Amino acid sequence: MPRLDAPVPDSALIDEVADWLMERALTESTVEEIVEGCFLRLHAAGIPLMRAHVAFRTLHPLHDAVGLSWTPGEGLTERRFQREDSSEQVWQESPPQHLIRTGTPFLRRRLTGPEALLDFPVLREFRDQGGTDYLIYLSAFDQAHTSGFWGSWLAGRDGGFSEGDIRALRRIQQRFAVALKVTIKDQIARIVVATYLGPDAGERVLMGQIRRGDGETIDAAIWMSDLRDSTTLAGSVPPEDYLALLNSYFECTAGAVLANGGEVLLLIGDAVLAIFPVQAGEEAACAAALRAARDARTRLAALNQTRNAAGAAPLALGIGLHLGALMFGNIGVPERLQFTVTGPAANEVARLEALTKTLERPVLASAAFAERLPHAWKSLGMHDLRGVEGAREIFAPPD
Amino acid sequence: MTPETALEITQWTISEGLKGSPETEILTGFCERLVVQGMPLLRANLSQPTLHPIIGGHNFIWWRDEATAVEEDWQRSFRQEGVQASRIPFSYMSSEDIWRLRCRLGPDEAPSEFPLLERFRARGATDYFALGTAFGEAHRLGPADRVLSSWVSDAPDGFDDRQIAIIEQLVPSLALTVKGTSAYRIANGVIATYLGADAGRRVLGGEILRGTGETIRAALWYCDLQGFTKIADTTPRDRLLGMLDDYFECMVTTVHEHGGQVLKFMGDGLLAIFTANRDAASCGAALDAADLVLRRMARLTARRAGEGLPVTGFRVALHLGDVMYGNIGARDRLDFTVVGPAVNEVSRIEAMCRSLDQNLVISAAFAEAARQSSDRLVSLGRYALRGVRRPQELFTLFTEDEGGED
Repeated sequence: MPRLDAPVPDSALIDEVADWLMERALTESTVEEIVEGCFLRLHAAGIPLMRAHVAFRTLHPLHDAVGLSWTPGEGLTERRFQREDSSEQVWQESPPQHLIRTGTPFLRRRLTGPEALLDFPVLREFRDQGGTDYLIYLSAFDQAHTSGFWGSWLAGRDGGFSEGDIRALRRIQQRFAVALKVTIKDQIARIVVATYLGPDAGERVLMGQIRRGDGETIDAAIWMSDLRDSTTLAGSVPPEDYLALLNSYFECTAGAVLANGGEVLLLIGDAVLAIFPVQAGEEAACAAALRAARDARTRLAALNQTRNAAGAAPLALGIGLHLGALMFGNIGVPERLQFTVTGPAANEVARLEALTKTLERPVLASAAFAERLPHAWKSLGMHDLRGVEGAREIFAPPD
Repeated sequence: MTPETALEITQWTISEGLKGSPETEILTGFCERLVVQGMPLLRANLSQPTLHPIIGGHNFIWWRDEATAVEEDWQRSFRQEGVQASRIPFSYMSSEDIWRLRCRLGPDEAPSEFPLLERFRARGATDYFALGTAFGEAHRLGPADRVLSSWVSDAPDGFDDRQIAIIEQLVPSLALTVKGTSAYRIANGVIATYLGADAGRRVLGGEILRGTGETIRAALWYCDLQGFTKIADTTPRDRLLGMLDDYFECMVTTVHEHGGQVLKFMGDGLLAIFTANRDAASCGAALDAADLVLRRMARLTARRAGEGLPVTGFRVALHLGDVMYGNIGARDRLDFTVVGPAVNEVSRIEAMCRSLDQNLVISAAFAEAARQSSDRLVSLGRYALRGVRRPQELFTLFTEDEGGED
């Protein structure tokens, strides 16, 4: 506990925080753990923290930046920011925005006493909450300042931060920065890979399956879907609108797959190739795929209602469902790969999907798939699938 | 060395890393600072396995008599030193799960089992000390799960205990510093491998929101293997993959040589784009590539047939149009690719190869822009393409040795 007459943080404990950061940087798993651990230890070492905060840009499809706030009472809370949030007035008038805009690395504001300067709206709020002293800093991760983070410290003690406190915080700052840099960069690598390869394929690649031919044979229920008349549609709207149309269409199809436990392997034009790996039995995998098919139709019906209201033509889909063994791995050339499925079953599901147009059915299943589910499938007879030896019996799901 | 000096070296190392200095500069500065403090250091190597389809890892090597450290990928290092990968100390440490290795190389010591260390001994080395710094599970990216460092002395009695202790104390911050750079390097490599170099750059530069992208004008290339599906049914998996490997190698190499970008592999084919300042340039490049790939594929097929390996035919379609180049997908599952009517059209045009009995079919828009590149463009007639409003005139390249060859 700091003595009130000589507010100096415990030097040995500050050393320990420095060492802890270095050690954790290579072993600790998340940004949250490093941030919370650091703030907690600084507080325990005697730094009079009422609140500590750190915020950084990330590379994620759904959010642009993350902010982590810590108070002794409530611990760590996290907030995620979208790109649009940066135009909000609160951000525009904030101290970090000022630092970024002016390239100032550091700012200090007393919140009480004769030297008090409350020139940002948020400082008045902090003062009203009992804050006495505010430090904010920018920390870049590289020379070009293309990435980095900013952090702030709020003191709650009369008199604010002592010189000793400020020296200690400055000492920690560098190690904190490198620990965050390493962890954030690792996290970004994982997020980007999962976004573009899917979580499963992404995980395999990050575990080392990155050579052409790396992969394995898996059993899976296989899904192939596409958008009817996409060529006509594509030709009738401007390219940007077609992109938006496709994205809302993917919400219905790929979205339904993801929501029902499937793995989206490939987006080819408007087509979605997905798998539901057999983990808890073939019946479970096929049941999940069928649920996803129904989910996709429900979502599309809702989308079409919106489109109808806006005077746009409805969209229609075709889905082929199959079950079989697939080679799941890297194809391509050594320096340019795709993690995907190959094998006869992949071809069959594509042909099955193409048949949905001819037979005018939204969903068709192969015998191999239908046999796994005890539903009242409707047989549509034997059909030839282009490129597949021998006619196949085709089924439609009970509606 | 005093604790204060050790701290200063650590602080310096960390701030260099935060500034984004390259690993070679950081290692050079680090070693020079140690030498100034009296460390009898002859050579240092910071070695990191990486996650990459071709490169196994990177070495950053400093010799006292060289001005700066150099960077080498592992394959190159092995060639330079003339040693086998399996017989170096780091490989031994990895396979035996050893994280600390000490080899005395003095004149009284027996020859080392590692040929590499004998080469160092020939250059005056008397002591070799290697350390591994492991990453926690969440920080491992495939085989990139550690930093290995080795330290070589040429002092008469090698390193003393104090010097070893200093090295052990300072290495973690050095390892941490290069790890920050390597995570980004790995992400770059992995994303470029799976998205292509340009798309990869855009994504890592921040274009990761669904819907972000730009309208560009591109020559489009869509190709696949004719008769593949039939063969796939009756060919054992390994031979099938071997065939795909050979054919993809031929397609991708030719596309890349002409400045094209492979956007997607689909089954037995691929979609690629060629972009340049002017349509004539992008179409010229794509046309040259198509012309060449047909010849190469024919030679490849002949060679494979001669070896009794399965073969297929090859078809390619070329088109020109405006496309949206960017992120499509659902929420957090994206693809960075091209979409638009032109993409659908090139697929329709490729489907015409079969009925027109041609292995290269070109759209009118492309032919118009490529006119200057080739006087061999001939019209195939006008056709209705499914889903495309107006009939399209289609073209191909006339080749003299056509007619009679199948």
